[in-house]
Amino acid sequence: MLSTVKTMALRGLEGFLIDVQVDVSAGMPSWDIVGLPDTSVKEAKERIKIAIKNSGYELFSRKIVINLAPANIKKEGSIYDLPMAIGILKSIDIIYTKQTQDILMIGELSLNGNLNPINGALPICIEAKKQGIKKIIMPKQNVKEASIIDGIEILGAYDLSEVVHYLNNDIKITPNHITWEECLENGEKYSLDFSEVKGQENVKRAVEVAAAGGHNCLLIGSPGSGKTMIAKRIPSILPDLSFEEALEITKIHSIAGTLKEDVPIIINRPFRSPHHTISSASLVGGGKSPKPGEISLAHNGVLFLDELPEFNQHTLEVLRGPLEDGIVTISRINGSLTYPCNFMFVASMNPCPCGYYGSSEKECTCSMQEITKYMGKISGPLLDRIDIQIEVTPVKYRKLENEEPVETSQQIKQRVNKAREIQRARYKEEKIYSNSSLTPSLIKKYCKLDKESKNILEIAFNKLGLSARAYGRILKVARTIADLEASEQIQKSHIAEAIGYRNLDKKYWKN
Amino acid sequence: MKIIEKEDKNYPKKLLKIKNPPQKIYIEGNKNLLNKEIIAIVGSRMATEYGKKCAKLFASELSKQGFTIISGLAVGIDTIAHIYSMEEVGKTIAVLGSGFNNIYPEENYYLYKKILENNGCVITEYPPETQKSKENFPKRNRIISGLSVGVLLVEARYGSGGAITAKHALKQGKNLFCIPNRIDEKTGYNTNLLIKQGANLVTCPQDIVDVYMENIEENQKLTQKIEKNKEKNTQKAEEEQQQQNQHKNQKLKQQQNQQLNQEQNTIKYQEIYKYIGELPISMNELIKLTKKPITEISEALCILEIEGLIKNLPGNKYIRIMKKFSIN
Repeated sequence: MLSTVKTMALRGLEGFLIDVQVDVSAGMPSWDIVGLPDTSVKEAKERIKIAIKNSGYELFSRKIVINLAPANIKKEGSIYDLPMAIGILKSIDIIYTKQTQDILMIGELSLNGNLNPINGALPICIEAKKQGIKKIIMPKQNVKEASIIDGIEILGAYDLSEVVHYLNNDIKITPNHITWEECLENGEKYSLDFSEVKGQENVKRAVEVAAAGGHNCLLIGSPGSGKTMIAKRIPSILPDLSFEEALEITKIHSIAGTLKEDVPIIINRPFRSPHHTISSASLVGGGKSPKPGEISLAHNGVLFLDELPEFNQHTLEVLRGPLEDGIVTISRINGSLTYPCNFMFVASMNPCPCGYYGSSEKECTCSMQEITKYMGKISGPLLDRIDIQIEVTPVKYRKLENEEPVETSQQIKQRVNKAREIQRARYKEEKIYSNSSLTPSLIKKYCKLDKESKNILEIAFNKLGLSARAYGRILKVARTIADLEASEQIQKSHIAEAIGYRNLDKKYWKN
Repeated sequence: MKIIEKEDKNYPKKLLKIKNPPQKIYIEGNKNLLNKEIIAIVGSRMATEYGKKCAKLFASELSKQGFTIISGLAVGIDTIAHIYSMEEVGKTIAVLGSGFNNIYPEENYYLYKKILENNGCVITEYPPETQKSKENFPKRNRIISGLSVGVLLVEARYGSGGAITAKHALKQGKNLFCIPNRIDEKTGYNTNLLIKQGANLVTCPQDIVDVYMENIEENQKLTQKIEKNKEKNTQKAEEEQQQQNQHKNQKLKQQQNQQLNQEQNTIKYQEIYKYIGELPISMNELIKLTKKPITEISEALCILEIEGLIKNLPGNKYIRIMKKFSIN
């Protein structure tokens, strides 16, 4: 007898409805899966066979043919285990109701009949809702991440027999739903706070400006000066996530399989810090059927590259496009996929190979040429995309002991939020959200200078030997500083502070 | 380019007196400079701010007093010595350790051009195609000291190029002047060592000027006489001078304006400026000392830097620089 069960295939973030058609008939005992299945799907045979047996149902030797339609889409992964098993059980009349056709099913089976969690439950739910599906059965462990979606019944099952009983109307499963507010309440807050950073006022200020305008920044300092400590706390001062942003992040993490079981939806901005041995494919995403890379996992959050010059140069160059566009398109033989990657880029590095150039504690042993060479490892085009460069100096012990009150992340965040609101209101019609995405023509429109500021900028360029590419960056950063003070006009002091964040330009990179 | 051989009568007499004078010297620019009162200013390539400051002071002051400055066109102290002796026209000589077609270091090619434009002089004992090599640089130091009447060593590590020049100077019987340095600075080790061994300790340009006062005066009298004769003969020269004077006046006015501007800023940012001294100070220390908001401080630091009153050092530190010899 023929039966049909619905399931879904994911390609990137896009979902396709798949019909699992199962025919069980008398004849030579055999088992075929057709419809462009991957090896991982073909392997399901044994899992399903034994899981059905161990769930207490008898599967006599028959001829079984399973077709995954439409047959032109490549299917891979273990999410088809459950729909295929249900299809078979329906064909041999163990499931006798007809309602299976309206329910979408996903899940992996283990040999004892239990359902194992799968990757991508959230994007599947979102896509299913778009395509008009009303009910979806999935492994219990995935319910938490999916239940944030309303307008669709999310049913979590523990094992195969539970699903069978439910479909036969023997038992009821209550649909799960949690609201965004509940998530926020129960979710873990970001555990790191800027109040733990003693001293470093200038760096904190620079980071605040960077967060307020979404500017990329580079921290330069000797070993142990606190670069990583500061970078790790940047997410704590970024504006709060909106529901849509959180959903986007969770979707990507769901596909990549990096979601934790007890965290239904990501409520903190992600902080990704890959090691410098990373390959370019794992940075931007890749694989036979492309998976999101670190830059997409850092979407709406922070991508932190520690020890920037240690990264493979080729690896770094692939960042150029995504940094500009906020999306990355990966083309492979199975098609090309697009993932969002709108992140704040934070990098850190030593000022020289030995690490102590300009340090007051230890003498630098590098020659001028070595330093120039070290700095040369970071290409101009990449530097071009970094608005703020700041030097970090180690804090003295005396200051660490000091018990003076330090600003908390919450206080800084309030200022950042305000500045962001001003920007959002200003750029309502420009389709950008922050000062960092200003294009040259928009800079002209929104970053007007009075005579005095123009004068300062001109003198600075002539005297400090700043490069032409620094011009736009200084204006953008000055705009953000003005926004932090809620000042309509960019003033001389704003420009002066912004120039301060380009100091390294002239000192290290003599361009 | 001119070539002067050892047998030539134009060959600088001072060089003949040294132990192994070069067979030929290749000269570009103003060759008359070679017979003037020459002071060598040499020192470390990895100079500290202190060293650079001293080199600036001595180079610009000594060239004003009528000395010609000679150095080796290397980075660090040498570069500073050339740049600030060029505040006067025709007062600088560079001695290369390679041929004219291979100026080393490459980044000083521009400086080399500028020296020639400034009516300075560049010499070498090597044919134009000679590549740089490790042996040549110490060798050319004997020419630097040989041509000069005295050698000023600004900063030198133990066994550095500057120390070699000092050794040559002593062998050739020239005066050796050393600027004292802090005892915990590696860069000043050799200068302090030489002072301990009896070199002349100098603390201001006048110390050097005093030693050569008489020579200089005589020289200047001679040149003045010649100039007077020339002036009598040509009226054109006068007109030219008038034009030059006008130029000078304009420049002076500009400088005065700048100074005014600087002074205004200094007053405005006095509170912050007064904490920045000869020793590098970090921005965070300034925040603590002045108790002013960080925005105000970063603004002040930027403006003061632009005006050339302070300098930003690696490690986010700031140092006061002498107003008179503000940034290049």
